[in-house]
Amino acid sequence: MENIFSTQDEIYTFIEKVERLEKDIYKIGDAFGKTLNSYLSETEKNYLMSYFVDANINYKDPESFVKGIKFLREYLINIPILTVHLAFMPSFELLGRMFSYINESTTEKVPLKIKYDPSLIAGATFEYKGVFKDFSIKKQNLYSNK
Amino acid sequence: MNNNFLPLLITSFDLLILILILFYWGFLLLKEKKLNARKRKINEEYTEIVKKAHDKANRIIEKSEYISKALEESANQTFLEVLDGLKSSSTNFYSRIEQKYEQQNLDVINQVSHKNSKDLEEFSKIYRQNLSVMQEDMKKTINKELESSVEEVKKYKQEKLDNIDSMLHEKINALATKLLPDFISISDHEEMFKKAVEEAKKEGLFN
Repeated sequence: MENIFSTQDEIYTFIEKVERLEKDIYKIGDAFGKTLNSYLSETEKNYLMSYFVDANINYKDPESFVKGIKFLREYLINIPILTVHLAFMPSFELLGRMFSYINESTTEKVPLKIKYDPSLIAGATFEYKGVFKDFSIKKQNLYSNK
Repeated sequence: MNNNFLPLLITSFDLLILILILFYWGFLLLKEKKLNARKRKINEEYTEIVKKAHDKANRIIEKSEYISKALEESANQTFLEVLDGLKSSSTNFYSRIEQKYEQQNLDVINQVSHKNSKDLEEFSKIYRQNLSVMQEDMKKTINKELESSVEEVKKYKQEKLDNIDSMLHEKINALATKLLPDFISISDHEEMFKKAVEEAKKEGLFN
């Protein structure tokens, strides 16, 4: 299933929405589609629906829905996150471009977790699937007599 | 008559017993007197024998003392004579021996001197050789120690330089962290981020 989330925060927000949906599932009855529209964006709704279809879950059955949501939460929590340390606080616009740079380099969309670390001076560090890479100015020797 | 006879008989019997007792008592007294006399005689004889024995012993002791003294004097005299003889003969003997060995000693000393001279020469030669070897060894040891010391000094110098370098590195980085961000523009940051992503891709981080 193709990832739609740009950041780890977006994943957690989506999980919170789905959990609210889970609480209201018995109240909504036949008006389930209407409630879905009120809680989730179109992209999120499509993502959820495609998940149910892929997992062969009947979302109209409350018990199956609850079970499916439980599996979805586990799946989302375990999606690999790319943690990026930056030496500055990027604007929203610049952040969008940074996502693009990364997505151009990856085979699929990778959710990011951005952290601020001024000691890096410039450049960035990446941590993905347990591997850490440092491309910061701090890593490079500004002074060396060798 | 019969009435007087029995008491008379009893009285006579009593008298007879009394006479017998007196007689026996007298006999015992006489016997004691004889025994005392004999005892005195024995004592006198014993005293006499002891006195005689004592006199005889004294005489023997006196006699033996005299003999002993005579013998001692005689022995002393004989010993002195023998000693004189020995002294005289030993002096002669020693004198002869002295003469004999004096010559022999002279010969030995001459031989030894000659031998010593050769030995000394040999020793001197060996000593010079050993000294040369020792000097060589010492020279090698000193050179080795010197090389080791030079290496240690080099190592120490390098360690100190590394420490200074590390310290400078830290200081410069700290200064750069404080000052550089003010001189780096957002577009520079973006450019460096792009390069970092490219590097990460090259290193296979996103595979």
